[in-house]
Amino acid sequence: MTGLFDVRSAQKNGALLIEVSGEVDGAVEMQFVESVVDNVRTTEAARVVLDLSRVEFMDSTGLRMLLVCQRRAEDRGIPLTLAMASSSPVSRLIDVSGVAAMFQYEPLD
Amino acid sequence: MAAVRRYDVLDSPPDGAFDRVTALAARLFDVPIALVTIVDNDRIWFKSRHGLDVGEIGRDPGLCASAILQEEPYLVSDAAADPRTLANPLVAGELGLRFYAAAPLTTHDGHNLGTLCVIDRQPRELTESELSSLRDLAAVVVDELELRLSARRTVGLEADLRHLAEELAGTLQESLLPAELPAVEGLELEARYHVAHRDQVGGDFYDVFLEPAGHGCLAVVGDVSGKGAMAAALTGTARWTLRTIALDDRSPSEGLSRLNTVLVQAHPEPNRYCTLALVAIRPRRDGGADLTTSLAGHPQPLLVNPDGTVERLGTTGPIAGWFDDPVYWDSSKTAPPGSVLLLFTDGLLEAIGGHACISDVPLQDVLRPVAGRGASEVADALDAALPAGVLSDDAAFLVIKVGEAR
Repeated sequence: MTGLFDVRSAQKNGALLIEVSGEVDGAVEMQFVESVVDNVRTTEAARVVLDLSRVEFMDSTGLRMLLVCQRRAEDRGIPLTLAMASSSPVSRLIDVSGVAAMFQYEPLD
Repeated sequence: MAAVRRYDVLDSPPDGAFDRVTALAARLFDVPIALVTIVDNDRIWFKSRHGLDVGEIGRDPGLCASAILQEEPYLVSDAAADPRTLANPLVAGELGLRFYAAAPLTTHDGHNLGTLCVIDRQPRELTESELSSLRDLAAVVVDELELRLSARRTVGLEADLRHLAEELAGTLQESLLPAELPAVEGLELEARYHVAHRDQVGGDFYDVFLEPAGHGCLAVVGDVSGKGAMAAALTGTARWTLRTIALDDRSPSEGLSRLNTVLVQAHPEPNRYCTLALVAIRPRRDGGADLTTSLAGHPQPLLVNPDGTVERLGTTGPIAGWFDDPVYWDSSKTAPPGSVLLLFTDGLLEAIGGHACISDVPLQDVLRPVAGRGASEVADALDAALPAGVLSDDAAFLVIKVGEAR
């Protein structure tokens, strides 16, 4: 069963934690902008953690959204880190796209 | 003048192809004004104007009227101090033109129709290589004019340019793809493009550009993020830029860096990028070909050897059009005679490997049994492996069969 796109967010120890699950592609672009990008743009938190470990598929539109998040966070001086396993679909997409060095990663425990 | 009449270009409607060339010229040379001019008996008419509101000017000597009398580019570094131009109304008048460089639009039978020129209000110099880029862009304009002439002959005299322009607009997707691939000695080329949504302009593209002096060609497959008009605009910019890069004989990695700079400057907002695989292919006299691959965030092209082994080509570099100063790598490889090179977009991986597949292993499984076959046979085998019905994403691929000894 492939999951529907879903976003949950929470505040934890001064950090904004955004958990994305399901498939991130062109079909959910607007939802992603509203629930994730706008959140990064307006948050009062000191840092943002984007948890992508439950993303099952991401295409180039999804990657563009991640890069936009990264840019918005940078504009505001808020550190943004990604959390996912190195074998996850998002990790592979980031590797193929040659942009691995452009993001910071959350250590997985 | 007869040549100008023959191309029937005076007072024709605006045409996106020429507007793209002037916009590109303005960006490449970092000048406010770029024009495609056609010289008439008593006036100079602007086929395309970037950064200027006037549609035509008189045939005063010193600028375009002088430039078309020459075979080589015409350069005025500081018009206010140059005896050839200081009396010209564009220099002395309100426009205050100081810098002017023009390459004549010379048709294949040797007539000068007008110029491609770049203009600045500051004095400046041009390097030899910039002058040669201007000459190359002028050649692109002439090619477009020739293309329109031959197209008009084919469809009959009653089909006027406006009709053609409308037809072109209606098939924007087709205009973003080459009408036909060039013939390259020592290679067999075959391209296929499968569109997921018929009502939308897709973001995939491919092209093959001949390198000067018959060295070989530059093959490219790319994927622009998103769909629709914005994606189409970026695709257009990428293709035109790559065409000039191929003419300049640059290495694929230099080409990607140059393209990245153009894309970052041309499309800063909204945020768009593209992924590309570039392979420079130089057929060898003794059969086989030397390949140089450079990648911008794109799946690795595959080389299928005649013995059925499959190799991935190139080293991953960052997506193009997003970062200010990315580093791209060239990887060299000699393809044996009879091998087959495949460049593709990630839509093909998903189409063959199933939903959400980003691995090329299923694709390799399709390629292995057709090792050593001709380019169109390999393309047919890939088409046969696609699922029935509508694809979830566009898929484009380019098959290149490397020939035996010549």
